[in-house]
Amino acid sequence: MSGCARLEVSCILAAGSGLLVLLSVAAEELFPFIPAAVSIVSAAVGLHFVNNDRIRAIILVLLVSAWAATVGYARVGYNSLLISIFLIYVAFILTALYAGAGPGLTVFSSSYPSLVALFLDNPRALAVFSSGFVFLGAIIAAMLARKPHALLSVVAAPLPLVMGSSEGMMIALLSYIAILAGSGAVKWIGCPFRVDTGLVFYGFLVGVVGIALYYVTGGSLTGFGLYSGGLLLLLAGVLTPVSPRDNASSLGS
Amino acid sequence: MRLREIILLVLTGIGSAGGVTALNMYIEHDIDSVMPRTSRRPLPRGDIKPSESIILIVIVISIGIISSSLINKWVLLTVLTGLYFDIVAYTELFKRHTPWALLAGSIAGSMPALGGWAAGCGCINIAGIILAGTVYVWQPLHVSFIHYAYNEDYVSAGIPTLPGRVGLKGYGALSMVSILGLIGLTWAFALAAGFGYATAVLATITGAGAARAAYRFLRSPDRSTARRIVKLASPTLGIVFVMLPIERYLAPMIMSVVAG
Repeated sequence: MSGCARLEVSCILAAGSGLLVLLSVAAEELFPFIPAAVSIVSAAVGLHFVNNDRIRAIILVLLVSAWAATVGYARVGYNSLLISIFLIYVAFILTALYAGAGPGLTVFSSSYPSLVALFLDNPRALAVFSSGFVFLGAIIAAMLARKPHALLSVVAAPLPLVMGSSEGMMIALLSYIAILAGSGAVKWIGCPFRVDTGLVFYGFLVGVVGIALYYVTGGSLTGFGLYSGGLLLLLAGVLTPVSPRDNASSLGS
Repeated sequence: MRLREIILLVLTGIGSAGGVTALNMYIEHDIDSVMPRTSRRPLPRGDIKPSESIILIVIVISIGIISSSLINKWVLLTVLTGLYFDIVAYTELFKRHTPWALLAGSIAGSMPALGGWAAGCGCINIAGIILAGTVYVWQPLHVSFIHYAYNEDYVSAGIPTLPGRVGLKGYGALSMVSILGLIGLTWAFALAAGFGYATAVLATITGAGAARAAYRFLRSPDRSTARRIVKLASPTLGIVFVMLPIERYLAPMIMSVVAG
């Protein structure tokens, strides 16, 4: 399966799992069991692309442990969630290292449903977390040169802050579906852009300062402005045009 | 407006307009280096490295964002809108593919006027939008003249230009629409804001000179007539922004002194 097709599978899973999370949030008594189950299924498909069996076994154990810990949140509390977060990110790093960008992003995205549990009691924190999570996804995608993923994540990232947690989460997750169309469109028309890592880095820096300020100050305009400015710099970094002389050679890449 | 807002507004202007222009140069330094008109800018000339310039640019833009957010949310909105339309829409998405990119870039160019209005009245209303519109309709005239005057530069850099795409007649027609639009909007502003009639009269007089030059250009295009259009149209816009504060604040003060 090609890298592009892997990305598309990742996106379908992320979008599907995200929508199921919304349903399970609506049906409070089923939370966090459904998100954990959805996360396991989506990550398992991501793991399908890992070629090394030993690594695959290690990652699988980590992930299953992580989601067991997430489910344990219902009975034990925040400590089990912290263990879950730690295990998920170790799994993400291992997957990205040994299987590449697409599966790594799948594992990363699949952790979102479980992590939402941390913030259910606080809508503002949930909105900030959702926004920050998609923003982080955009950074990782940009660094891995996953342009459509990065682009749409950047557009989706501020929505939970602007529109409120539920609507923002819904739109942020639906954006993953749009990534499918974006991937197809980029393959069709070519991609006359390159990633400027300097702009991406400083966009990330300004955005993180902004979102931290926004949260600490209880939603200040300056925090929101810096966060939006960071996102725009990040967007500019992902869409940096290639030189006209190199344009022809980049089409179709 | 208090002194605090004026200082913040100056910082906003320097930070946003200066920072965004510098970011534009950072992104375009590849084509700036092949165009004689822009090859003496700091980045193509090698006065500063791109990796060093980006740090300064981000700091300057951040100053613009912070200071605008300390005025009000509408000023912040104009700064972010300008950043989006200048960098992402104009420079990155459209400029290298279509000469009509200037329609997107002109939105960014009109944001300082809207931002100043928003700082003054604490809102964005129809009068503010019309005022920004005067800058918007002037910008295509200004940019397409640069395209016309330096067409060879743009061709060598692979950038499509309006005169190259629609021909000289098209450029002349655009100039005429731009000038008539500018005159019309000064009257629309006066009607919406309740002041600015003297400004509209003056703008009509100078604008008529520019419109006449545009008509001549349509009949027999040449470079000196094109330059004359810009020389007459640009002061028309200048009159709007110099005269309006005079008409709004200074004239009533003088009248009251005379009457008193």
